[in-house]
Amino acid sequence: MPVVLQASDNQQFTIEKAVAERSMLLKNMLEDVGEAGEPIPLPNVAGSILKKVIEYCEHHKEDPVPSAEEDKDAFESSRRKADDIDEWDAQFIKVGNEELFEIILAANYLDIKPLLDLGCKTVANMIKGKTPEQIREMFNIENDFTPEEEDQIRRENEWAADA
Amino acid sequence: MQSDNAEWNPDGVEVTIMDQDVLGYALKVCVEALAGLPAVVKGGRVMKALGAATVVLDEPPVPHAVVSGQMMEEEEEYMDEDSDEEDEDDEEVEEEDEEFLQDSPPHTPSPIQRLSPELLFHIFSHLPLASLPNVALVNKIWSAAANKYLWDHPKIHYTGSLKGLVTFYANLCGVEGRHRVSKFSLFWSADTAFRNLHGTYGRVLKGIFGMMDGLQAVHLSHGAVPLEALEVLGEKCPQLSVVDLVDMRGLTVEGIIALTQAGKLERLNLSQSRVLPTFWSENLTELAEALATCTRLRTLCIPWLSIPDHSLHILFSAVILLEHLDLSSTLITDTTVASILTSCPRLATIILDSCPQITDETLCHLAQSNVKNASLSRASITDSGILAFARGRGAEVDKLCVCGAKDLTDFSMQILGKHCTQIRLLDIANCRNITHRGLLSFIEPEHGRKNIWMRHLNLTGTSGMITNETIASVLGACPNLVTVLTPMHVRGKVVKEIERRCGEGGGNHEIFFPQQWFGVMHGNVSVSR
Repeated sequence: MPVVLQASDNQQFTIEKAVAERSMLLKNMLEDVGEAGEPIPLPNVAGSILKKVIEYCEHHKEDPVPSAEEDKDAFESSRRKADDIDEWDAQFIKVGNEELFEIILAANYLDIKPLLDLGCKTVANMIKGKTPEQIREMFNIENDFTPEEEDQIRRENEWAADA
Repeated sequence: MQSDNAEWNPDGVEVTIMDQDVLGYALKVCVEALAGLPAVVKGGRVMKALGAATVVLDEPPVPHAVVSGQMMEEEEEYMDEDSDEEDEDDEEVEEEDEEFLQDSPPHTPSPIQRLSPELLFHIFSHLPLASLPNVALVNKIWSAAANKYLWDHPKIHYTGSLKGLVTFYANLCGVEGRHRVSKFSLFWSADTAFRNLHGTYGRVLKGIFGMMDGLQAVHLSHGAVPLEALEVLGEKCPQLSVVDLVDMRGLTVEGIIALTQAGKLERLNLSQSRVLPTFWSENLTELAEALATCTRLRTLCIPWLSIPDHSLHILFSAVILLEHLDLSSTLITDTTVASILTSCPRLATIILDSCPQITDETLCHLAQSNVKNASLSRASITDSGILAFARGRGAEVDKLCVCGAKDLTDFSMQILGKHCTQIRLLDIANCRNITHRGLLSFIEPEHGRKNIWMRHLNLTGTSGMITNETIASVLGACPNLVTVLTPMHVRGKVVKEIERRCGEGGGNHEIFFPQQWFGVMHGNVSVSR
């Protein structure tokens, strides 16, 4: 039974149930309301981003679903390795900054943990080794600190830079 | 910046600052560092700085007052010039801004500004610690998330230089977050720490513990810690419940007694640490009495401390919640083990390696207990002890180390295979009388049935009868093996197969150090490279 999703711009996507179930939000929703055949409205996700998210879920639909509590230790130890990104995933996530953050927001909203992790790791890799000024420039963020505040923060956290 | 321009002599208080520009800042850091170290300051020692400033510290100084008036004036002048220029610039900028605002559509925030602090926090969790100070400077929202990660993060894990530690300490003074730090880990080169135990290192460590009064867990390994620092931990950290002092040098019985003042102590782990004095001494009785006041103790790992029997009785009739116990390398007797098992019914892990007085009798007592994990390496045990234990505990047995038990034969293995059907770790290293027959009857009590439980197997130094074929059969019968250590004479294809399945070297050797079973090495303490 296919599932119909409706993006914020009213674009509709018809996908397999197995693909939709990569999203914990949709999975729970389908369990709760059954399959009514009605389109599921996703007012927080634009069509172009939803298309991308579906592409990811299509590719990963065969992956084993990680149970929530399973091997928390293994998860803990893996999360710090920001470098180990699968080749297909690396290609998939090669998008502009705007789109990248939209994907992260969508993955968070739809509760697709592997995609959220992929997005966050990608951003972490972009941030790593950059100065505050470079980070601001990259993401178009305004500096709202006074020089005194900056100085204070720099001193407070100096120990970590040395660790 | 001060790291490039200032020289810090860790053993003295003389500081030479090479660059005038950093004078103000470096001076402040040093003064703050010294302010918490009355022992240094009391002598009225002199701190020199290049240029005009020479500061004599007769009393603990007020940090900001020390920076001389001249410096302040200079700064003001500099600021004045700056602001004049800015005024002129500002006017132009404002005009431009207005035009810009009129022409452009209303400002939409970039998506990154829509990321909640939780999502930022999630991103930062993928960053190395050293990147976070830069992240904290981006803007206020990022700063809050990064600081949350740095300061509310369950642990501070420090591996930097001594100078870094001094700076860290100096900065703690002004940081509100220090009260929220609940875990502190420190890894050090043992030699540096030991040499500096009564110098800057020891004092700074004491100061750090004194300021982080919310500490619940302290992990120190491969280093040294002075008595004074342990005293501070015991007195000033009311929430302290977990203390790991792994592979530490120069620990004294007095230090451990001082620690026991932390009334909520649940874990005291001194594995691989030698506490002085090691043998019979009056203060070992005192230590046992002090430990007996820590009635919440669930893990106690105090090897090398041969506490007299009557004191052990007092101790273990008090710490009845105990679940993990390590009394390796002591002169503990079978009778004492029996009384410990009676008074501590929750005991699940017991480690009595290299205890020369332990015999089969202990195994008979263990058979009646709730112990699942036992390590009796290098004890005088025989087949009859194993028979009693295996019958008594049966499928409950999870881990067993009997490394170096020369009297054990194939009979023991057969018995273990029959009764202990869910054993996951077996260490029979150097049990030279166990052959391939015993090993196979243990692994495969019923022919053709897979052993899904077995994960870790140590066969180093076993009999020459255990050959390549034996190991191949073991690998075939145990689909879930994670670690296999083989005797030297096993070579060739089978070794390749082990490496394919278990990784380089046959897996994680450290699992066979029973001290690891306390879970200390998993995540909490890892040696930095």
